[in-house]
Amino acid sequence: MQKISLTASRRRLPAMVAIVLVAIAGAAAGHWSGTIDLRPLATLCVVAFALFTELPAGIIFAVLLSIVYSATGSTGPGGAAGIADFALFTVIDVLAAIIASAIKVHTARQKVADIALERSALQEYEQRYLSVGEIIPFGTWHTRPDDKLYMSQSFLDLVGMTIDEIQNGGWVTRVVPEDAQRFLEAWERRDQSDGSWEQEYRIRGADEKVYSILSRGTRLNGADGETLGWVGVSFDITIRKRAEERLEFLAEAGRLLALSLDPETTLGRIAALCVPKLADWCTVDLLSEEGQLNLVVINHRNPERVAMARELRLEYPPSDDDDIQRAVRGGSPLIVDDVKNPRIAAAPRDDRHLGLLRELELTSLMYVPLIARGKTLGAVTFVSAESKRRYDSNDLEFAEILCRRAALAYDNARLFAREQRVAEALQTASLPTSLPEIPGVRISATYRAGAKESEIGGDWYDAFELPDGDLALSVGDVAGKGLKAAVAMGAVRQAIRAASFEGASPAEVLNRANRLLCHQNIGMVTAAIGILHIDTRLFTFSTAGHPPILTIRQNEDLRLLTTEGLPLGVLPEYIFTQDSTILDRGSLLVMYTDGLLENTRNVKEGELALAGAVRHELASPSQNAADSIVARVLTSNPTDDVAALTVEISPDSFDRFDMTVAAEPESARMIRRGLRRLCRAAGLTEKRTMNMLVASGEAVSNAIQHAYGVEGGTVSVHAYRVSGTLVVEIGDTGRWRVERQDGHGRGITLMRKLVDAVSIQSAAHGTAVVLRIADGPSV
Amino acid sequence: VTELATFDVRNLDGYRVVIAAGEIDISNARDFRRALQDAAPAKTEALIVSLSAVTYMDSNALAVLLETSRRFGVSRRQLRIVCPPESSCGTLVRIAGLHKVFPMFDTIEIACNGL
Repeated sequence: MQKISLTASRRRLPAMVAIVLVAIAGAAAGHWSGTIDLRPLATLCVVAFALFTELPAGIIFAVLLSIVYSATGSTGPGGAAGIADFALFTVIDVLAAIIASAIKVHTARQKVADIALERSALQEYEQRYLSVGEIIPFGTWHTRPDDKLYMSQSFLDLVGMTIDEIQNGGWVTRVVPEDAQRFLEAWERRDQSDGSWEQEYRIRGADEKVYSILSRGTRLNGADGETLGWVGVSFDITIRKRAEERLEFLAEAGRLLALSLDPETTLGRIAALCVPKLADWCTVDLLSEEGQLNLVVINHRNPERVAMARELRLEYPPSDDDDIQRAVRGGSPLIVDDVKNPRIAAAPRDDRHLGLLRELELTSLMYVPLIARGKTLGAVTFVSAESKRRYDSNDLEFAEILCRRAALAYDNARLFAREQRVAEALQTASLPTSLPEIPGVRISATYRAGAKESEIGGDWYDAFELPDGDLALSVGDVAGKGLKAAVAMGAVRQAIRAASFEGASPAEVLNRANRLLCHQNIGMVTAAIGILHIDTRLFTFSTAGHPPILTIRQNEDLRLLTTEGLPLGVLPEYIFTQDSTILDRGSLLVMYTDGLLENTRNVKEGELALAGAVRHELASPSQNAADSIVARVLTSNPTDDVAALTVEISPDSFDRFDMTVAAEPESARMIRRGLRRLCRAAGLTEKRTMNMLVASGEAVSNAIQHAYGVEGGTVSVHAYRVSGTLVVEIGDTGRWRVERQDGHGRGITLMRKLVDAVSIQSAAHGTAVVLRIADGPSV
Repeated sequence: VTELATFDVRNLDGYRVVIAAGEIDISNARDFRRALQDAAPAKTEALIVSLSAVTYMDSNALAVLLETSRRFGVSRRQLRIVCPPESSCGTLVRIAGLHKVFPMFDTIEIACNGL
C-alpha cells in the first residue's frame, strides 16, 4: 500500500507544479494587462490543486492564490480589489478547495470499496480453482515468473513431500528411472513449445506403488507476450494405463502361448512373459503324479540372480503348509502383499534362509495355481523384489486371468505332445530298424520329418529279403498327417510285406494292398514296389500314383520307371500292371516320396535338382547315398516329410565275396547269404552248395563261439574262384577251438565230409580255415 | 529283423509235432532247443520233429537234436525225426551218422504210424 501511494505522489508532482505555474502565469498576465478577470482561472487552479492533494494543502493554496491575485491586481478589470473583494474571493476559493477535496475523498472511498469487492471475488475464484484442482487426482500445478513450482496438496500427499521439497526438485527422484530422463528433458524444453505441454510419466508414491500421470499444462502470457508462468493439471491415469498395458500384455501372452505346441517351451514362455512386467522373478512348478511340486522354470529379471533364486527354492522347498501348497490344494490364488508382515508371511527357517530372502530383496508374492480342464497342473509364483512393488488384488486378478490362459495353453501342448509322441513312435517303429545286407548290392535309406512340428506324415520306405533271396523294396506316402496317417502307414507297409513274403509279384502286391485299403477305408496311399533278383539283376516294379523310380548308370541318361497305376485305396477292383528291366552293373536305383520335390518352387525344378543329385551321387558315392541325395535336393528343411531309398548295384561281376563282420551269432546268416550267391554264381548244384554252406557254417560258428564275449572280435570271409575251385577262407582273431565239446567239435569231421579239402592254419594272431570245393556242376 | 526259422507245435493223432521251417544256425539254435523242451512235457510219450521245411541247418541244430534225444532216452521217451533222406537235412544227419541215434521218417504220417 505504501509503495502504491509513493508511486502515486511521484506521478502527481509534475501535475501540481504545472498547476502552480499556470496560476502564477495567470496572475502575471492579469497584472500586466489589468483588463482580464482571472479569478475564475484561480478558482479552477485551486480545485485542481485540491484534487491532487489533501484538504489542508488545498485551503492554503486557495488563500495564497487569493493573496497573490489581490496583491498583483490580476483579479480582474479595475486593478487592485478592495478588502471585501479579497475576502469574497478567498472564501470562494477556500469553498472550492473544500468541495473538490470532499468529492475526491468520496471518490477514493468508492474506489477502495470497489477494490475490496473485486479482491473477494478474486479470492473466490482462486478458491474455486484450487478446490477443483484438489478434486482432480493429482491436482494442479503452476509456476510463477520466478520459475518456482507449486503443486496441489493431493500431489504432495501422493509423493509424501512438502512444498519446499517439491520446489527443491526432490520429487523428480520419484519419477521411475525409465521415464526420468525423457520427462525432465521435456520439462526443461517446455518454454520452447507452442504454449502447451504434455507428458506421461510414472512416479513412485509414498505408498511405494507406481502411478501413471498425464501432466498437461499451458503457458500464461503477459500483455507483451512474455511468459508469466505455467499452469497445468496432473491426471492420474494409472488405472487406464494399467488396463491398456494388461490388454496389450494379454494379447501378447495369447500370441506367444499359441506359438508353440511344445509343453516345456510353453512353460518357459509363461515365465518369460511375466518378468519384469508382472514380477521381478517368476517360477513355475508342476504337480507330479504323486502330488509333489517340482520346479520346472525359473526366470529372474537379473540373470545373475537366477541361481540364487533357484538355490532358495531348492534348499528351502515349500513345506506342506506353505502358501504355494495351500494355493495348489485349494485351487485358488494367494497373495502375500508384504513379506515383512509376520501375520501373512512364513517365517524364515534359519539365518541362511533369512539371508537369502534379504539378498533377493523379497517384497511381495503371489501364488497362482495353474488350472485347466478342472485339473490343477501346478502353480506360478510371482515375486516382487528389487522393484519394491507391492501386489494388490488387482494384480492378483490379472495374474489369475493370465495363469488360466497359460494353463490351458500348457495343457493343450501336453495333449498335443502326447499324440505327437505316439505318432512319432509309431512312425519310427514302422520304419525298418536295419536294412538287409546283401552281397552285390548296397542299400541305403533315409527319412526326414517335415519342418512343421505339428505334422508327422505317413511316408515310409522298406527293404527286406524274401525267402528266395530276392530283394523287395517299397516306398510310399499315406495322405494325411498325424497319428491316423502313421497308423495307416503301418497297416499298408505290413500288407505289402505279407503279400511279398507269400511270393506275390509287385503288381499283385499292389492289388492286395489296394483291396485291403479300400475295404478298411484307410484312405489314399501312393506307393512304388520293386523286387530285385540279385543274381540276374532283373528288377520288376509297379507304381500306384507315385513318382517314378529313378535309375541311372555311368554316362547314361536318367531312366524313369513307372507303370502309372492309380493310387491305392481309390478303386477296389483296379488291376495294377507291372514292368521289368535289367539293372546294369554299377547302376543306382532311387525310390522316393514326393516331399522331396514339393519343397522346391516347382516340380520341374525339383526334378532337375533330383536328377543332378542322383548323377552327383553316382559320380562320387557317399556313405549313405539316400541321405546325401536328399540333403542335396533339399536346401532347407522339408515342409512335408520325405522318405528315400537307394540301391547301388555292385559294378563287379560276382566271382568273389569278401566280408568282415562282428563275431556275433547274428553274423552267421549274412555270411551264409553271400556264400550262397557265390556258390550259385559258380554253378554249384543245390546239394554241393548246401555242403559248402554247412562246412563254412561250422567254421563260422567256431569262430563266433571262440570270440564270444571278446570286445570287438571279428570274423572275416574271403571267398573266390580259382582254376575250377571255389575257395572259402574263414578267419578269426583267436586260437582255433579243437576240443570236442557238446558235439561242436564234430564240426571238423563234418567239414571234411562235406567239402573236397579242409585246411586249418592256427597262428598266434588267429586261425584261418580254408575250404575248397570244385566249382561247376561236376561232382 | 525277420525270423530265421519258425517252430510250430501241433497235436496230430495224439502226438506232439514240432514243425521247424527256415534256417537253424548258431543264432537261433537256442530257440530250437526251447521249442523242443516246451513242446514235450515230462509225460509225452513221443515227440515228432519235422525238418522237411528246414532250408539250412548245421551242427548247432544237430547238437540240439542229440541233447534232446539223450534227455528223452533217460525218461524212456522217443524222439522221431521227419526228413526225406535226399533233402539237405537228411544228407547232413546221415553224414553226421545220427540216423543211427534216432529213428528217421520220410513224412509226419509215417512217423505217427511208425509205432
